[in-house]
Amino acid sequence: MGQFIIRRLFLLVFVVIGIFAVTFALARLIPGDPCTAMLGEKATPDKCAAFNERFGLNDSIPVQFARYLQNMTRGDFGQSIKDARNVTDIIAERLPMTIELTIFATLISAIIGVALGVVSSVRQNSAIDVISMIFANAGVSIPIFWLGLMLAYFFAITLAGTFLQLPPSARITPGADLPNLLKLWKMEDSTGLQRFGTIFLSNSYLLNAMIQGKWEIMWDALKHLILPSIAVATVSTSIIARMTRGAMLDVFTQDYVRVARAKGLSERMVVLRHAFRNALVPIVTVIGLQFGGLLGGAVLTETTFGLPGVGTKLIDAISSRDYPVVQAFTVVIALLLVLVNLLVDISYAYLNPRIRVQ
Amino acid sequence: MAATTTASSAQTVKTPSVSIQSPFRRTMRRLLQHRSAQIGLVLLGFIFLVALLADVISPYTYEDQIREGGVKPRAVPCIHALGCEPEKPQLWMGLDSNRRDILSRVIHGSRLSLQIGFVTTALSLVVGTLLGAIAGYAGETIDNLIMRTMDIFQAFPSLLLAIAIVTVLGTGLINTLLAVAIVSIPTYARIVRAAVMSVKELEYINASRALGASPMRILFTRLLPNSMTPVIIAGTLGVAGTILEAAGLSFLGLGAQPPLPEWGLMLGEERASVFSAPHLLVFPGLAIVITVLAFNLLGDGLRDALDPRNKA
Repeated sequence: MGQFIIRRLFLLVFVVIGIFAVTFALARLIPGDPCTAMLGEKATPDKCAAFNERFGLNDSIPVQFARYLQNMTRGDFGQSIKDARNVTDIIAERLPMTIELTIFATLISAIIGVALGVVSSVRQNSAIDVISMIFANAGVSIPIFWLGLMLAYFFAITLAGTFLQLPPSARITPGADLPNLLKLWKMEDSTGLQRFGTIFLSNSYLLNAMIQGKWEIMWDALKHLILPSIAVATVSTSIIARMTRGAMLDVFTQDYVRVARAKGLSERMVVLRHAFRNALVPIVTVIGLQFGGLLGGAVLTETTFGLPGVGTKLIDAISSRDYPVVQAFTVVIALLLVLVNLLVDISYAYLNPRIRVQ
Repeated sequence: MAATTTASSAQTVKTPSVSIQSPFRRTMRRLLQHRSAQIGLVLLGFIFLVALLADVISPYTYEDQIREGGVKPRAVPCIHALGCEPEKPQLWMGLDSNRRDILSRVIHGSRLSLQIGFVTTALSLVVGTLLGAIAGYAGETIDNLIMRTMDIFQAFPSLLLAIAIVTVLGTGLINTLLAVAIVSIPTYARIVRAAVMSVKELEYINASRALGASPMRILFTRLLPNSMTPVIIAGTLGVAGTILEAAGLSFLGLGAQPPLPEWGLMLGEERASVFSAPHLLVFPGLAIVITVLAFNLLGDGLRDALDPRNKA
């Protein structure tokens, strides 16, 4: 097992270097030079020269790339050209929102998707099966940004006044008192990992509210998360449901399932102990593979629900040609995805011993 | 393969009608009997018809600003048969913020979406197939080079990569097409590579080689035609995916630009009206759902019809 993980990590190094190269190249290829984009009317040749000097844009491309790699390894993503702030701070601010959204969406899609898939496979061709497969087909065909808008209208307007009413935008009710941990703990001057961690924690509203013991605010934040999470989860719920159903039906035809039935085991035992366990490998894989889609979905959904996450910042940075921010956010997202894929691979090996020895 | 041939020729003696069916006709028959394929084909037929006859059936052009009968921007649907006052113009889906008829825009949008779906998929399919075939056939260093590059591209969520590419190329419909196409290349490359690798060690390939066929000839006349099944399925489902992705980019303002009646753009332009005038958003969204669903259903049907395990 250890060897397997080491080998995977080794392969990972190449992918990560590739990611750095691609993001670096992308940011360099963006048309229009950042000086005129940022300074606008005021962009005189003199000022541009100073600007380029300050951000190291005059050096040769290899030198810039080497410096970029060096800074990355130290967790230094440079300064935002637009806000004149550390990009690392901006990441720490924006990332928690997107991670909260993605985790919730993953939970929703895994639980509902697997449950629907198992039930459909056990009751193959029943009404439940047909209905959930129709939903699964519709689910992959719905643009989630549209679904988000429709959900927002339904839960905030149609159901207004009922107990099912849900907030259609923002992370918490405006005016809610959730102090910034950086200020609360008087750590404005801190640097490095400590600063990153504190800002990150502070912007993970659920955790922040928990730390400060403000349970109503936590509940409020949770309610704000429901609609966006459902919107993001729809596509993967459908895919997971279909995969689970297929994997289960495959396993049901195997001899050992017939043996288990012949032994007189209860159907419950056969389904959960024998069939489901062996169907888990493809199911876990597909859940892991959904992660990238979920992250992409989060970008669209953040726009729909007006949430201050990675996606909205990325779009904003792209339109203002804020190179360092675009670069950093793309890298962070790609690294997250690579990390999740690694976890999927490891769990895959854990679930299926044959992969370990190969 | 050999076993099935003998089996079917043995059958020929008893039931000659079976042997007349070419694989193509057999697949078509199976496809037409498939429930979801039937629904998909009917929906697609309808959408194609709408796109083809857009100028004839839509009451206005997609840019006309309607002022007759004192209608205001964002007017709700007005259908005479349902009791709407006859002096007002008939508006099946209402007006948008710029007084344009939403029905006409949705109808014209079908052209754009179908074009986006087909052009993008064709582009990525051709490039992906070539790369995958070369990787699978050449193996070793070339294979590694191509596939590791694909790995890096797949390390990004596809929508984000598309966004990044649009950033480089600049916003606009054509660039969106390119971005979405580039992003989908790895999928096809992977599928074709796997198919080519599974075919290339078969005996008839060795036979061709022994007869002195050039690698190019083997690749294009022997390997590729026999690796097309998964590509056809992936391509059909791919059209659905690209339409969704392009709509997403347009929704974010990076794709089609106003005044084009692209469905995603229509949703993006009016998203602030969701609480005051939801009808502006319902219909373009439904149009996307129906179109994408049609391709998905057809793709599912194709998969079942072409799946070799299904031939019994």
